Amino acid sequence: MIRLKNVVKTYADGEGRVYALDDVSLEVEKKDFTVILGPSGSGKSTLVNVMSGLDRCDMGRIFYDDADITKLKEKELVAFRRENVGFVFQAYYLLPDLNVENNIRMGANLVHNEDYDEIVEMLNIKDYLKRMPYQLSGGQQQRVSIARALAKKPKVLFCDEPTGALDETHGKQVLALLQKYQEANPVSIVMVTHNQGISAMANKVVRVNSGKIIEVSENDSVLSAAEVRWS
Amino acid sequence: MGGIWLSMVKRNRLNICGIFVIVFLTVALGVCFTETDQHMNRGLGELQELNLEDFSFFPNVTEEDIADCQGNYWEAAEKKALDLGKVYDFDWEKHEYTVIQDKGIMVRLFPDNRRMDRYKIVEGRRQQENEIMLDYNYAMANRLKTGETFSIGEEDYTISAFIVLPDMVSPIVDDTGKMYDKTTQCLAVVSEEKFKVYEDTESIHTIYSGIFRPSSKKETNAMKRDENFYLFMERDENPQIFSAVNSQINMNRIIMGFSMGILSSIAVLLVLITVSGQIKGEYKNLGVLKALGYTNWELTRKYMSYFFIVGIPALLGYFAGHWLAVPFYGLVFGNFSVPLVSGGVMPGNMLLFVFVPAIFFALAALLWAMFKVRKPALTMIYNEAGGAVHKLAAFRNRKVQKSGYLKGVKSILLFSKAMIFIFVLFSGFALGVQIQFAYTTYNMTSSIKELVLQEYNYENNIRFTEVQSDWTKYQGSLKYLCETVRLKAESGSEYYNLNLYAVGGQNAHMLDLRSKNGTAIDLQQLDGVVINQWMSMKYGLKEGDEITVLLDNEEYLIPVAAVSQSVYGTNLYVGKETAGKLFGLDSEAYNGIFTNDNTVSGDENVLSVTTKTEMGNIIGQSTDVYVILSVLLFVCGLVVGSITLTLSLAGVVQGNRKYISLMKVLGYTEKECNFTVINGYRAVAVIGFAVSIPYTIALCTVMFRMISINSNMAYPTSINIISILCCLLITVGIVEIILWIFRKKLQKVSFREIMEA
Repeated sequence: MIRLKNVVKTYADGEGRVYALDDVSLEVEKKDFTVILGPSGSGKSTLVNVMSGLDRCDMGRIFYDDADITKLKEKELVAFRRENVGFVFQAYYLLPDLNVENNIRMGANLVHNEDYDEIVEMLNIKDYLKRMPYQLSGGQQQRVSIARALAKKPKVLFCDEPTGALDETHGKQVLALLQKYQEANPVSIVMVTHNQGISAMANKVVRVNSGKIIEVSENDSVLSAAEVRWS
Repeated sequence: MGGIWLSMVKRNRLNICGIFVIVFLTVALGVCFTETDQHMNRGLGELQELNLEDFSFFPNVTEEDIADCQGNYWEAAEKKALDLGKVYDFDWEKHEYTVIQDKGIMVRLFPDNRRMDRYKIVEGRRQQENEIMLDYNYAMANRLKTGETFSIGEEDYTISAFIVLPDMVSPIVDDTGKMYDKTTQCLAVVSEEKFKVYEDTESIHTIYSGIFRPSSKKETNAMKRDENFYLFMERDENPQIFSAVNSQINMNRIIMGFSMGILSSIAVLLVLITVSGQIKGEYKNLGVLKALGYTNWELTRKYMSYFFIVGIPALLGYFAGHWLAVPFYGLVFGNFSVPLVSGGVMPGNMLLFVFVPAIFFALAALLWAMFKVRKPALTMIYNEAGGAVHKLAAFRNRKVQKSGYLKGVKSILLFSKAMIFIFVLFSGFALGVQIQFAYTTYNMTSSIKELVLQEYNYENNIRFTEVQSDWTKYQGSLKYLCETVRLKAESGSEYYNLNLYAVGGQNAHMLDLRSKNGTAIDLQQLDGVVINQWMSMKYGLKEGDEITVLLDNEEYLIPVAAVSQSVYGTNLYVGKETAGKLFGLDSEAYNGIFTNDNTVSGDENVLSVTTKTEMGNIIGQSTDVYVILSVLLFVCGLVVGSITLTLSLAGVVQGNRKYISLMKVLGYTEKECNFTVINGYRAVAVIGFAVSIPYTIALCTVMFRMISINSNMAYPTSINIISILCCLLITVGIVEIILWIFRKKLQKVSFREIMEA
């Protein structure tokens, strides 16, 4: 479904340039649960950004099915993101002036989805719909953030350290919800994490270091979120 | 401290730049207006030291008085003046001058013999034999220098000095009715001996000046009523002394008050918003520092650097204003003969305009910061979660409809940032007020000229020295009988000098009196007098009221039949027939004409000629300054309004970057981001403008009314739909330009903002 071909991304750093992604090629299939692992500064977030169309690469190609998103103009890229991808961030990024329901609708509205009750039920946030973000715990806020992402019915869900700010209990809850959703829906999940244990949940594990993919492995069997060894 | 200050400036450079410009402009304008006012007051103060008269008068010399003095009129007049001085306890002096026309120049020549209303030498020294002292304004307008030769007819004089005369602060007209023009008219003083030469060849104009003795009860109203005074005019109501200049001073003060009020409000709001935003941005960090053990004082003392942020532009503004004050004085008060006493840097002004605001804002910022950091460290650290959402925004969350989601979010965002909302609202309001005020001031000047000259369907108003019998030369003219009357105020304690024009019926079209709605007023059909808008405003009169008028010391209760739209002058009009019925005036007696003929040159019977052109010029003289002021206010309004709008909209973008970047990440288009986050503020700015419309109308009405009451002209508030639309267009134009710039800026807000937040 997603194909990265010789992708290069550099950033200016003082007098020279730093390779955030250096000739990266990768494939993600439909309904894959892909985990990208790597130390800080290894380029995993950059990889997600260029894969999702949030950022542009300097060289290389990124295909969604047969469509090359590197050729898209800015407006087309926005439309692509609108129709295809969802995001979950480590810091939730809920809009502080909108209550939970309106935060979720920020996603749902994009695809005119008014039927997000199931997601709300699944994420167990029905009782908080009228609350403001500051009235929620971190775990609750992340669930709202996931609901917002899923309410737009993405084909690919990109999660950048979604459990990074959560303890094990809440982290596992969040992972379980993602896993549950993927079982019921045709969505690919690409998750960036530094938590090695989470890789056991994924059918594909990508290891990144210094802007290069150093290993792509596939798990024959995957663990449930509850079984994950938290690190 | 310097390092902290510099970093603070750097981080808030846009707002600091705004504060800099607005404080600079506010202080510069404030100092300019204030010092101009102070120069004028000092100048007038100096004139008062020249034994300035309390009033001008002329005794009513009767046939009996003349007979008592063996037929000598002037002896009779002086005897009468002496008697009146004893009755009302004042000293008096006879002032004479003659008018000489030579080579296109009109000279009002005075003998150097005064004890009252003494001249002040601005430059040079007192005249000696064959020397002359000229009025300062004429000398400046004609670039004359002392020591040069000035000729009157065959006589050559050396200019010894330039002077001002305290009883000629505003030498509007001479006794021929000729309007003063500093380029062609001159006040001049020669020795008594020299003046005597002209006494034999030229007509001499005489007026008496009086000063109350310290023991006097100053019964001015009784004096106005006393039939022994043919004329009595206090210096404050004398347009040649204080009336016109006081009107200008009042206008100056009101414009200063208005401008300073708006500008200082903007400055206060802007500083508060900047400090508030700064504290908000640093709140969490301050909480962390507090948790580490820093005291409130240590956390907040850097906010005292607002002393410099405000003080530096204030200091620069002070010097700019100080530097501008003298040319501005020339602009506003250039038509008045008042010595310029400019003085140097005034510590009082510097304290008021530099140190007081600098200290005020430094303390305000410090206190505000201390108030905000008074909370426990943990509350501050977690503040983002607590209480950050405005109650109104939380309420509006519940009102978001299923359809029109973005519209609902837009409304939430609008109300969630109360300070930004108020700032944008106020920016639209301030821009609207300033542009409209400038526009109204400009409109006022053109309206005045139009309204005053509208009744002039004639070119010349010719007054004769006495009632004429032969009118064959003036067949095409409109005849009138003009009498000096006094209007008794409602309180019954004050009297005002007015001219009563009893106008004949023939060629009535030459006096085109119209009511406020433009309907023609037919004098001959009315059973009362016609007053103008100024009188209506000044004396609180309207159509149907009755006024008490004194004519030859007889009181008459006269109905006000109509109010004409003219805004200038102290003329009461009445049909000749009605005048006969109301005042018993002779229906065949006429002493003046409104005419298009110009056949009076050299006519000895002519007392004065006022031409339409001259009237236009004198109105122009008094209103031109407002045109310049309106342009100045317009430019200031645009600059300040644009700055405040820019800063407020910058605040919108800055305060909503997170929303914008997140919306972009989710897949919202630029258009949707603009609609949700930015566009709502367009309406807020326009609402601010809409609020400014009634405010400006009310403000201008009150202001112009105040000025009108204290002057001899009604300043019309002429806000109309077209001017409002023009101002709206300007406001919307500025808003759109700024929004366009910020929309462009929005395009640069990237998803990184979220990633890096």
